[in-house]
Amino acid sequence: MGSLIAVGSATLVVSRKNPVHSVLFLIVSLLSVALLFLLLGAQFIAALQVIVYAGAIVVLFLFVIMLLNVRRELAVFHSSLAQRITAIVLVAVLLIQTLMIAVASLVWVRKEAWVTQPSVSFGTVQAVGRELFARYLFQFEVASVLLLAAIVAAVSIVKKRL
Amino acid sequence: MLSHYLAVSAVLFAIGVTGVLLRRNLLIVLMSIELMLNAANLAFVTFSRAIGGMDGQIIVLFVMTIAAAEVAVGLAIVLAVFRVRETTNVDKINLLKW
Repeated sequence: MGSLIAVGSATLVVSRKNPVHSVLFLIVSLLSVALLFLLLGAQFIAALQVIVYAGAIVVLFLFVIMLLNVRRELAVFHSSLAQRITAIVLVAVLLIQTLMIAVASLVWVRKEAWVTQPSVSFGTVQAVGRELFARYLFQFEVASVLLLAAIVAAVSIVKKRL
Repeated sequence: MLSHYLAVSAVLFAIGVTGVLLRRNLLIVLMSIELMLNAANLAFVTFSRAIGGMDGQIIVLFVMTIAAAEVAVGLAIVLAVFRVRETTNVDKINLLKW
């Protein structure tokens, strides 16, 4: 059910004329992906998804849409023929891969290679924190430098007078 | 079954690809990029569940950080371009086109 909502709302994101409608369907699809994370047992990542993606990034999008006063479009798809053919080919490849995944799960993978019952502390904050601050400490610090760079870049791009 | 989540991730990615390639509004293109990043996150968490280790979720944390930074910079670029060109249509933002 969650996957149906995710796929359906994602289709609606890319196909609405009014960009505010697209943002609303983006919220729905982000929340449904958070639900899928919960179903997989990753509670911390699900909460992070709601807070960071559906909370902050979508608000940024809405700010920009309201600032620029983006109008409702006249037509949704008016791209050139080459772009349409490329898009169709890429989407066909990806959907064939989806089909292959589905077939492989039914036909080939007989013995359960997946861990059916993960440990109790699988997606908890403590487990993520333990890994993050022990093995991935350097990457964590680099991510903070990346955020600093993003802040500096965003402000310096938008400033009118240096 | 965990392969269902992988299939959903692939379909979400495909929908994001169509959004990036076929839509002309720059903001919708950025939203489709977010969809693609979400699909990748879903695949990462699925494989983390399959293996049982926490590495996939740590990577998802970093991917979310990078996505947030990229959205901030991307929207700043949209604002700066809109100030000059007065449009969000990607076909009209073609100064660098050969």
